[in-house]
Amino acid sequence: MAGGLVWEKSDADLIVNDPEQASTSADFAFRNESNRSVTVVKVTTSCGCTTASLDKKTYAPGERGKIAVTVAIAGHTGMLQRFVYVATDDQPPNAIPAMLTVRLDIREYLNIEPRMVFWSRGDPETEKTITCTAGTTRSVIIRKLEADHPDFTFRIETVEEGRKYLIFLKPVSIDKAAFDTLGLVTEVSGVGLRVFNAAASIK
Amino acid sequence: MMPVSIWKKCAREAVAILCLALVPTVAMAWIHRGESKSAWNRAVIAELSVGEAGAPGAIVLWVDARPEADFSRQHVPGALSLDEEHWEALLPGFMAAWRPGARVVVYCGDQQCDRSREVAERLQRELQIGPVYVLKGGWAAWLGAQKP
Repeated sequence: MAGGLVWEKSDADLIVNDPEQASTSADFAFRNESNRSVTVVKVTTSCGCTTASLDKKTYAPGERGKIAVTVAIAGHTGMLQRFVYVATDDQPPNAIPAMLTVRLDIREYLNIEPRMVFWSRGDPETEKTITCTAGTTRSVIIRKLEADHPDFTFRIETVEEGRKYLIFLKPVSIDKAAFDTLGLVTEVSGVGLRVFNAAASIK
Repeated sequence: MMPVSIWKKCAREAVAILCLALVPTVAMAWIHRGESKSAWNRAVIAELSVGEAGAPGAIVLWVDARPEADFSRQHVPGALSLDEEHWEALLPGFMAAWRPGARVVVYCGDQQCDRSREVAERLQRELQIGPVYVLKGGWAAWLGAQKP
């Protein structure tokens, strides 16, 4: 509660299926269940990437309102949470404001697990695997792999076209340090070409 | 008591309403097929103070999660810039610099800033290189520790 304001919900769970979208938003509805007008005196957020807005500040007894919260995505992926704090004039100045929570699950177009495979010098020259899985409903087709150095050999296996691929890597020689970036040139349906980076390393 | 014909009519109408209600439900299930319900489960990221991070004998790989402009002005000596806005472009640099056994410590502006935690979580999740730490107090704490 924020004093007389009673919230329909104080947290929102959102799945973002387009990691390149600029922002996402959630509304938090409330009702003034006290018998006097309540004014929202301060709304703050946990991050400059999050904004919160109200149509007006003062709500009569029984009146409904909502806070619209917008969170910038800006390249983030994975689980994020952002907070909005709402203080009202019917609470003491030092009271803890109401806290609204937005939890985001921002899906990646392509999950690459792991991003880097590595061997230590002297290790057996075993083949290692990178698993690539489409993370949203968009299909992701790996068109080619680009590598700068000939220190590793690799091959790609299609498990399910557009959804899952396996990349097998093996060092040419385990006796010297090496590092190579693998560029995965992909075509994401409805989005276009995107390049994701993985790496192989002998340390 | 109502005639049987009225009951039958009510039952038919109830079935029709149920079928109509199922149409959008089935449509949404089809549209969102393959999507799993989000399981809110954040990784645990440990914090280190400036003193703990740079303990004698530790090989530290500092990662600066602040915006590029802040990094360009000043940063921990030897730190790498890595922020989510430029993840694909900057990640290869981190992967090239990383060594097994290195203690990876991520920092951003100060204790209120969440960027370092998000970068640390993403490094742990994507690279699977073991624990990645966050600098307690961030860049502000580092600066404070440099004062005599």
